[in-house]
Amino acid sequence: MSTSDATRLAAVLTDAPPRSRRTVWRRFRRHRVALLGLGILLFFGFGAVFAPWIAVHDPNYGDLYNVKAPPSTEHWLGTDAGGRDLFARILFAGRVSLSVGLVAASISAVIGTIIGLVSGYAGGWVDNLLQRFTELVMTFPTFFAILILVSIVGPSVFNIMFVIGTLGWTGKARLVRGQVLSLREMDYVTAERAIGASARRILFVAILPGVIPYVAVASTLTIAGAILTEASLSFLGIGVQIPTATWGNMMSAAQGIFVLSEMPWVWIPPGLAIGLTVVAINFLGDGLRDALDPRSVSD
Amino acid sequence: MGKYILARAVIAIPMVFAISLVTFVVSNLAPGDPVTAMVDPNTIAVMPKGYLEQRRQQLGLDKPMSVRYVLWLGQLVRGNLGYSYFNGISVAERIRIRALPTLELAGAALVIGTVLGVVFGVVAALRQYSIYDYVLTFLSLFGLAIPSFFFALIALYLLSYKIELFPAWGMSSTDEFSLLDNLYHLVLPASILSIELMAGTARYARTAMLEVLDSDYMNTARAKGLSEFVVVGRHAFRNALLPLITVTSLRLPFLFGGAIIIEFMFAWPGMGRLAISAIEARDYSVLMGLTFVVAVVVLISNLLADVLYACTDPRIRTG
Repeated sequence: MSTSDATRLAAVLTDAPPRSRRTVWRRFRRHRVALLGLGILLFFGFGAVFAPWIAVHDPNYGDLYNVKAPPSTEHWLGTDAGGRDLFARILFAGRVSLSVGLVAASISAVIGTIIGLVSGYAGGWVDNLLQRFTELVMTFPTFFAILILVSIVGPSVFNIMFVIGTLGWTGKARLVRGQVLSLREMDYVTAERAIGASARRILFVAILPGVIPYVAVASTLTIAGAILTEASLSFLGIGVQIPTATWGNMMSAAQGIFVLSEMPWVWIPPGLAIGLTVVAINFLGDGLRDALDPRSVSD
Repeated sequence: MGKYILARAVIAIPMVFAISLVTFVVSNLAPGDPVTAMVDPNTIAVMPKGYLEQRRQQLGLDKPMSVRYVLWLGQLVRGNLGYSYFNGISVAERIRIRALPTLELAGAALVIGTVLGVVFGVVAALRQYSIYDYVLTFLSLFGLAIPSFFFALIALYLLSYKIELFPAWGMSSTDEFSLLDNLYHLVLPASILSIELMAGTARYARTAMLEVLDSDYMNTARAKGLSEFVVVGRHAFRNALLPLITVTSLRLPFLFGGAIIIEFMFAWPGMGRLAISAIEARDYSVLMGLTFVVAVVVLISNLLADVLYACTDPRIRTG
C-alpha cells in the first residue's frame, strides 16, 4: 500500500475532514492547464471589469466617418457598419457575457442543491416525485424551452440569466442527491442524529459542506454552458438586444453575406473570445476537481 | 425483459401528460392576447363593439385555463395540435411539413457524430499518450467549447464564399427533388451540427475504453490466448461502448437545440426555422405544438434507448 493509499484510507476512516484551503490551492497550483485557464479568465475578467478605463472609445458611439473600417492603430479591432469601435465593444460585451454565465450558474447551483438535498434526505415519495420532475425537465429540449421563455418574458439581461439558470439545475440536483445518499449514512451524521440534532442542522451543518465542492466543480461546466447559451440566443437576435453588446450579438451581423465575407474582423474576435473563455473555464473546472476531490490520486 | 420494457413504457405515459401540461401552461403565460395581437391597434379603436369578444369566443379564449387545457388535450389525442392564431393553418400540418428536413439533418448529424466520435475516441484510447491522443483531446475540447454558429460562420466563409465548394443555404438548388443534390446541401450543416456530439462521444469513448482496457478480464482474455483483435474488438469494445446508447440518448435534446441554430444559418426548412419564425411572430399555438412534438420525440428516443440497452446488456435482460 503506497502512502497516498494510506492517507486516502485514513481520510475515509475519519470521515474525510474537509481539505484546508491551503491544501486545495497547493494542489490546484500544480495543475498547469488549470493555471492557464485561470490566467485566460483573469485576462478577460480584467478587460471586462476595467472596460471603461481600457477602452479609448465609447462602445455605443458610432463614428460615422469611420464605418466598416478594418483594424488600425485608432480602432484596434476595426469598426462595424455603424462605425462603433469593436475593441471597446468586445470589452464591454465581456461584462454581459461573463456575468450572465456567473449569475445563471449560481441560480442553477442554488436550485439544484436545494432539490438534491431535499430529494436525497427526505427519500420516499418526495424523492420519487422530485426525481420524476427532474427527468421531465431533462426531457425538454432546454435550448428550445429557453428560446420560448425568453420570448415570453422579454429579452432583458436579467431575464436571460434567470431563464438559463432555472432550466440548468438538473445535473446538479442528481449529483447532490447522490452525495446526500452516501453522506447521510456516514458515522458523523449518525452521531449528529444520535445527539438529537434537528433535520435542519443535519442538512445544513453536517451534509451541505460535504456537497458544496462537487456543486462548485459541476458549476464550472454550467457557467460555460450558460455563456454558450446566451451567445447563441443573442446571435439569433432573441437574446440581449443591440446596442448592449454581448459576444453573441456582436456576431449576428455576420448573418449578412457582406459582413461575413468582407468584414471578418467583426465576427472572428468575439467568436474567439467565447471559445477561449469556455475552454479556460473547462480547464479551471478540471483543476478544481482534481484539487477538491478527496479520492483523486495525486496528493 | 418484457417486464422491464413495460415498466419503462408505463412511466412514459404520465410524462407525456406532464409535458402537455407544462407546454400548455407556459404558452398561456405569454403576455397579451392573440386576438388583440392579430389586429392593428389603430383598427381596434374603430372596430364594432363586441367584435373582439366574438373572436375570442370563436377561438375558445373566453373559457378558463383549466377548461381550455382539457379541450386542447382532447384535440391532442386525436392528433390535432390546434391552428395557428394568425393564418389558421393547422399546426400539425405545418410541423408535418417541417419534420422531415429536421429528422434528415439531425439524423445525419447523429450518425456522423456517433460513428466518427467512437472511432476517434477508441483510437485515442488504444494509443494513449501518443501525439494522436493529445491532438484529439485538444480538438475535442475545442469542439465542445466553440459555439456551433461560429463553426458555421467559419465554414460558410471558407467553403461557401472564399472557395465556392458547398452551397450556403437551402436543401436543394432546383425545384425538382434529386437525392444527390439534397445530400450535397446536407454535407455542411450536418457536419457542423455533429461537431459537439462528435467531441462529446470521442471523450466518452476514450475514457470508457481506457477503463475497460485496464480491467482484469482483459488480461484473462489475453491469457486464454485470444488474438489482440478479438480481445479489443469483442471484449473491450462491446463493454466500453454499450453505455454510449444511454449517453447519446441523453444528448438528443441538445441535438435538437443545435438544429435550431444550424437550420437558421443554412436556411434549412425544418422545425428549428419554424420555431424562430413562430417566436418572431409570437405565434404561441405553433410554439406549443413544436415543444410538445420535440419533447415527445425525445421521450420516445430515451425509451427506445432503454429498450436497446436492455436488449444488449445481459444483466438487465435476465434480471
